[in-house]
Amino acid sequence: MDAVCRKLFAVVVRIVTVFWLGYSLRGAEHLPRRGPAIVIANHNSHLDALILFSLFPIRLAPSISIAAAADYFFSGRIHRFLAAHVAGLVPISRRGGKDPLGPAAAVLHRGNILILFPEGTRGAPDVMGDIKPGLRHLARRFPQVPVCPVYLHGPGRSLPRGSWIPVPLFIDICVGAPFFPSTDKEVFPAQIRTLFDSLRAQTLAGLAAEQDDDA
Amino acid sequence: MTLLPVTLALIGILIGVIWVLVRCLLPTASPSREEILTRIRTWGLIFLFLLPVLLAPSPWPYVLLGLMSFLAFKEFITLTPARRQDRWAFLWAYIAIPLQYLWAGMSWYGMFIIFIPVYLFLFLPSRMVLAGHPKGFLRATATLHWGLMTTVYSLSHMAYLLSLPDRAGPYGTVSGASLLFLLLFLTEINDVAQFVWGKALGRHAVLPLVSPRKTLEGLLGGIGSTAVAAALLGPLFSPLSPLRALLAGVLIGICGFLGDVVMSAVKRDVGVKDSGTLLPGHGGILDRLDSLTFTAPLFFHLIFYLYY
Repeated sequence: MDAVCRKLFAVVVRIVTVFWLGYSLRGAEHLPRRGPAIVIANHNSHLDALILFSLFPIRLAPSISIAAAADYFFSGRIHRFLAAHVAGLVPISRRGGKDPLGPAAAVLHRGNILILFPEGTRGAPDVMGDIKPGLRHLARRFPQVPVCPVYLHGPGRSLPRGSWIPVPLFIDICVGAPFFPSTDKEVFPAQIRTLFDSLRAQTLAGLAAEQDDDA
Repeated sequence: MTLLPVTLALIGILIGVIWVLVRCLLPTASPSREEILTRIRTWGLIFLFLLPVLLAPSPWPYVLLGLMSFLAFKEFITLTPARRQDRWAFLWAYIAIPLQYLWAGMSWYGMFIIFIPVYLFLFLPSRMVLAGHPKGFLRATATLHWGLMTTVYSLSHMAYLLSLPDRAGPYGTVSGASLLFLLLFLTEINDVAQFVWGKALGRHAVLPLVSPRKTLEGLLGGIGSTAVAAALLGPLFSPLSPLRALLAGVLIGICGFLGDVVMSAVKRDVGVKDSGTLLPGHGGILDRLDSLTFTAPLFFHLIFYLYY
């Protein structure tokens, strides 16, 4: 039942991301083909998770989970049902507690793919916010699980915070090579930040490529 | 009216034959082989898109052309910088696309011709001013409206050509679809001919800062080739006499070039090479439609003024 819901959800999401928005994808060969794996991205918009979700084939939809703030997406019964069974969200408590990463860790234990936003929240458009330690803790618990970084250019403009209809825009997506994050408290945030800076530079350079050609 | 389907079938076969010839004759080691094949394949896809536009019953041609405008406008909006507070104006501008094609499908000429240049020209800045930010206001309204005028208003003249009633031509009845076919064929022939003449003989750049590969030789060769093609095909697909068709070909040659370099200047201004990645080997959809943004309204008004 859940699997059917998730596949249907994947189809609906694709209508939005492929027809309403549309995207160009670079580095598709770096995307994990099976779990366990973690996919991380910069976060500016609710569209981010939907776009990442639609990068994977529909048959994989039931095995993809999206880490989401427990207080935001899991408040109220209808919300909770839709979040867990249709969208495939796993709650992460932002207030701490005994094991805030428990549900996310369970996803990796089951050998599935986890989508995670290291910033933990949608920041200002095109600005990378503070890197939260969640990913580092997961990396320490699952040292053998590869992390695939994805840079998203455009969703923050299409559907910024506080709006509910996405403006149709083409999204540029750049997938980087999988890596294993540092578990060091000091090194980790800088590592993630440098990685996304270079993906961002690649994306923008790709758009401007060979300007002296037959523009 | 069997001329149009027969011609389209011939073009389809021609694209297929060229693809097979390139595949078989060009050595596998040739560096440009894959690029040429990709380009031809994309031409094939464009051709397949145009078949229902030219042959399917209403409303499908209008729906498909509206979709094309949607993609072109989306590319334009993606390229140009925008202010966050103008989101709603953008959404309203998108709503104008189906309406503009509806007016074309209804043959409501008065509404079709003033909807974007007058009503939206006044409405969109009104919506933007309600956001209350004067900083960057002129740039934002001008960019949005320019995008609508080129990708929606100009291109929608293709749809209105389809709505024109049948007329007697020199060699039998011509329909709106055959007029649209003539416009598309001549515009694309002009693009290709300018490219080929430029590659073969190009020496003197026309606009080195805007588009360094556009040469005077390519431009003149393109206009000449298009004029000849127009004189031959014009009388078959439109009410134009051979001489008038020749002049129409010259018009399409010059305006196609202008549309092309104007869009190049826009891309250069915002700092991108291609407008997108929708058409493999060609760039974005705007890269293919740039000439049509100029030729479509001008060809339409030429025909409309002379015969309707």
